[in-house]
Amino acid sequence: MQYIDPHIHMVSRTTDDYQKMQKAGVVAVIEPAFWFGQARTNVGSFKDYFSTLVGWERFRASQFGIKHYCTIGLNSKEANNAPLAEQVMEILPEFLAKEGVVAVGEIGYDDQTATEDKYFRLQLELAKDFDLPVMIHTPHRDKKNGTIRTMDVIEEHGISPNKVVIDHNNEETVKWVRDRGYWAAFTIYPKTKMSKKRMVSIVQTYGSEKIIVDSSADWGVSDPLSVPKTAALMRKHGVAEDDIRLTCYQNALSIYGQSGQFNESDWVKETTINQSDLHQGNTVLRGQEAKTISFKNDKKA
Amino acid sequence: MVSEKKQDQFKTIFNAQFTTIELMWLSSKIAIVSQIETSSKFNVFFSLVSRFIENKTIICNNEEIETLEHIYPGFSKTTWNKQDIARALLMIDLPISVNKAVLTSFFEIAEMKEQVSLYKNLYLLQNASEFKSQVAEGIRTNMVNVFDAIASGNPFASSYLDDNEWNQLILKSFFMDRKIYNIQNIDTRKNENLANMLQDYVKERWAAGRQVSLEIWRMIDGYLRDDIKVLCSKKQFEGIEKEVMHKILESNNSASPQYWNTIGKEH
Repeated sequence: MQYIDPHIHMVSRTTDDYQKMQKAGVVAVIEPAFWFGQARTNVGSFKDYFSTLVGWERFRASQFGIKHYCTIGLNSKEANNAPLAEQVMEILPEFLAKEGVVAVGEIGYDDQTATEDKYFRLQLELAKDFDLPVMIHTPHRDKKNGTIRTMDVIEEHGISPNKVVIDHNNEETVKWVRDRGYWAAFTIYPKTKMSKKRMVSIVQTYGSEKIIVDSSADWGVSDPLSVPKTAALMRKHGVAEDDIRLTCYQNALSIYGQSGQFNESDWVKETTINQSDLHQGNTVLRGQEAKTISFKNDKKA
Repeated sequence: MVSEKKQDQFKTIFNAQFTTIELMWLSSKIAIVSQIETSSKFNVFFSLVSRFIENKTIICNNEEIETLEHIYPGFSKTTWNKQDIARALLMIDLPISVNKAVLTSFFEIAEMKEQVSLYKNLYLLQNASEFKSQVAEGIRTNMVNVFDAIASGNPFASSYLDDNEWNQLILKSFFMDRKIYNIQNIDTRKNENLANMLQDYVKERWAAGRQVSLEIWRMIDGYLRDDIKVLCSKKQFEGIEKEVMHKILESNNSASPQYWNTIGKEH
């Protein structure tokens, strides 16, 4: 079985994670631009972060046989620094135009301030300009109102719910999100957000249509294997293979594939990586034994 | 450096490779970036090439390859796709008065494939020599495909880098386990300083019980030091390594480039 983790912050993860993910069947990841844990104080920090997502991290993932894509956006938390946000808005188009950028995101609300609202709306317009899907981060606090307001604003800007993923759903929000035609993503965290077990119940209740499982693994307590582990638990509880495939692979491909930047053919063909072809020195292998890893990717996911 | 005449030859060869729709898109964008006032649009257009131009390897006939080798020595040693060429055409038509500023700032935000195209294409500019420090910076990358774009079949390094920069390119090739036979003018830029650094490297590797690339001897040949000769006399070599070491130690005449190319390709 092949998996896609459509929301994971690999810049915070180790090479052990990449190896385990590859072994568990993860073939592609999407890394949304987000908050760093530490607030950035100048536009250069954003520029270098975005460049890392389309450069070094993309290369790092390729060494482990995983295709790396990203979304680009100004996150809601840092949007509150208006003078800085203005400057970030200016550089976003240059990154949104790049190959492998599959959506504008993750954007939305945090505190639901007026400033957040301003930059959220401006970025929705950018998504229209570049004809890209949108990845939405829903707020932790006042989640219900924040989620509904997010959807209202998206519709106000004339964006089709079919081009939008609303992430970090729970048992409550999923109803409203699905009723309005959006893709509903679930972040499986070991302690907070959504657990694997609750996720199984959601798929048992709602089926697999427009439902997406992701790990959102980052610098906090989180698990980069959330997608394959949740799939395993679904299987154990008798969820149909087709529903597992849709929630842990195909739905992400369908929604983000609308960007034209996210194609199954990128990873379906056999990928052979000779690690000694890649590099040593100040980088990933650091004098370990180079080995040839052959990933014969099975077409049937 | 490539003259305006050669740039025109380059354009003529490749115009035929694009579809009508691609050519229309490309011409409209070139018209914009070729004006100084609107040249800052270059960044977005360069990126959008991935959406509007097919990612397909170009195929040229023998006559075209001959012309291309004349324009860009080493051209036929690596694969080029239509996106690289489209990006070359955008770069060529950036006004020379602004191309240094535009390209230098774009290098800072270029994604992996864009960096590959940028480094491959710099030589095609009329003021290529002005990008010497950019290429010296590029050698510091650890992205293998970006490094290869600078090292392999690219005439820029041998044309413009000074000895220290050139030596770093070669040293780094060995550290990154890259082959060196495809580096343009690999033999003509050999020097004693490089050979000495490489011999120190051989000693370090052997002391750690590790091996070195056979191609390393291509750069040492002619500058072999006595301390290395002594070390060699105490070591047992086998197979092709034995043959190469014999050539280095016993032969009065240097091995030919063809010999070394075969060693590079096959071992």
